[in-house]
Amino acid sequence: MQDLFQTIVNGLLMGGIYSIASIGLTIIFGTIKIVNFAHGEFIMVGMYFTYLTWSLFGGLDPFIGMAFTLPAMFIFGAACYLFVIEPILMGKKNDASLIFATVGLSLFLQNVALLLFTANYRSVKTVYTGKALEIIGISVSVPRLLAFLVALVLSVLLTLFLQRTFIGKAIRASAQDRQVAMLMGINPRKVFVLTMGIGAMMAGVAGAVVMPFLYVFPSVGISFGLLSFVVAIVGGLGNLKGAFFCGLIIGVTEALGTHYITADSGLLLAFLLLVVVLIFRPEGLCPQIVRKGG
Amino acid sequence: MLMGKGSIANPRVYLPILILALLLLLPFVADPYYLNLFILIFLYAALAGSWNLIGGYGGQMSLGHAVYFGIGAYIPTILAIRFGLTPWLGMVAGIGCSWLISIIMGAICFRLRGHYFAISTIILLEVMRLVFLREVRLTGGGVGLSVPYKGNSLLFFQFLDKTPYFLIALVILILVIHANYRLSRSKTGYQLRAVGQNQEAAEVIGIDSASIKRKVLGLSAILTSLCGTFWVQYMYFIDPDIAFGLSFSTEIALIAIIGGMGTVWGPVLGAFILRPVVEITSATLGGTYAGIHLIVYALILLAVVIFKPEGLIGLFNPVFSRIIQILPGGGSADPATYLESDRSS
Repeated sequence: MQDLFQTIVNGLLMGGIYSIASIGLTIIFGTIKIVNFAHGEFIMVGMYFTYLTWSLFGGLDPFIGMAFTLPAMFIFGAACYLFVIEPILMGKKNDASLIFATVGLSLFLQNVALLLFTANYRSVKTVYTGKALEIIGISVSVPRLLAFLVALVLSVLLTLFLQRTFIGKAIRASAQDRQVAMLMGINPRKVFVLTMGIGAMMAGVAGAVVMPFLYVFPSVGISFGLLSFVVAIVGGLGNLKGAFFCGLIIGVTEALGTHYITADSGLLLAFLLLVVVLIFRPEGLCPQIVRKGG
Repeated sequence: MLMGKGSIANPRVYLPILILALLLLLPFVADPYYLNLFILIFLYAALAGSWNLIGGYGGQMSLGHAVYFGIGAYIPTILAIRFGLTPWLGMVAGIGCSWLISIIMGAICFRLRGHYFAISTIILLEVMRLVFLREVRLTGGGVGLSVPYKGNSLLFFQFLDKTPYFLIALVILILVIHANYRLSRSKTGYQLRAVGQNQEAAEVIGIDSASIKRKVLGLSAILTSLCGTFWVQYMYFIDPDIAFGLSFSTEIALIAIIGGMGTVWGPVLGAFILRPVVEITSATLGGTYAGIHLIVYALILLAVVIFKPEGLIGLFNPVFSRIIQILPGGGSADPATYLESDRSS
């Protein structure tokens, strides 16, 4: 029993990170209506930014370093929109060029990272790296707990931002009906730049919080990206609450698979869950769950 | 030539024959380095052409086509190691398996459209990679499998010289081009393009979109599987990261996109432009800067999707028409012939 609780706690902690990773993906899809195939690479870039601030500022804690990395990620996301996405949205857009623009971006970012940082694994050392707390017999890794809490707080802040502020309302309005939003005097270009920036920032949060306990290397984004897709689709693309809860579900699924079957079954189980969801509920699981919850 | 239309005096007929004859002369004059380059160009052109059937004409952006390539590479190798079966029969078995898997993939992925479809193909590719990594006893896991060495043997699809590989790759490429050509001119091809452009509208006029997509995906899978078998017999080695790798899988689609998807010659043009670029950048800069050729790849891709979404074939068509006009007998070219671009629908 203890074993089961331990696994679930580990899964929930990792799931929180998947949530924040896929919230970035889902907000970009919801508003701009594109799937960012480079999202995993955005997380990778976030991890390298964190690594850089840590090594440049003499071991600055990644959580404090967010003061630098998150604005940098915002600018990075906005630049990606202006230089890659917008030219395609403005031109003759079709599914192929939209998909392959971000696929090309992911290929580009991955190999530029390889060029700049080589394939070596890099990590960030903090005072709490490797520390663990003991709560009613369950050991909780301190960096993972911190990562989970920060991810949780920032998801809540993002939700509040979208619900309470004018800009947030403009983003939600554009997501619901672009034409009507434009008629209400909302500039879609500003909204899209902002959304892409926020999406990249959320990827940056995920990248920053995992650095105390994970390594960064140029292809680290692939598995992160795939898991974000799984979470975002299972949660219903464009649905923030769905993404949040499904992140936790996928985290726990992966942890249970890894613990009770074999080390590589966790990921496989998460993917199979997606396949089952795609077959029976292509619109995603979570609308139902959220409704039940109130 | 394949149309049985037009006389031999027409450049649109004799030019392809001339090019083919020149290619057949190549093994006698070129050194192994260039022969290898051409073999890879043919192989990538054939892969991109196979993808083009469902991705280009059907608009189904599969990013998981390496699944069929991997099956085509693994099945003959496993059968050869286990039962000493010749790869020629193994190839047939691989084709059968790929076709079956295409039915299953189709049943899952074709429930989805556009971006969702693309994501689901990536996920299934990753599932295959993980499964092949796990089944260590059958597939050798991450270590991979080596083809049992038999020396120079036609029966075992192994040759010490590159010339037979060159000829076989050329035959596969011609097969793929022929399939593209036939599809682009057939009723199924027109129906598939209609489904790709607007599925609801196509269904309203009575097109059975599910059955057409399934049929063409099956054909595409079979041809991709063929390339997989060729690859493993040429390289003597396969592992899950090569066979089911995501970047390889996207590369197949990229070549078709850059060349011009939904055209017979776009994927071929893509391979003839990109493979040499990859070779040159890897040879000159690859030693000092790892991954540089993929950066070049990505930049070309971004430039094409932003500035020339219909692909580079759009730039080459006017040049090609001009060449045809200059060649003897070109004044009276029959418009409905073999090399004409078929993008206009």
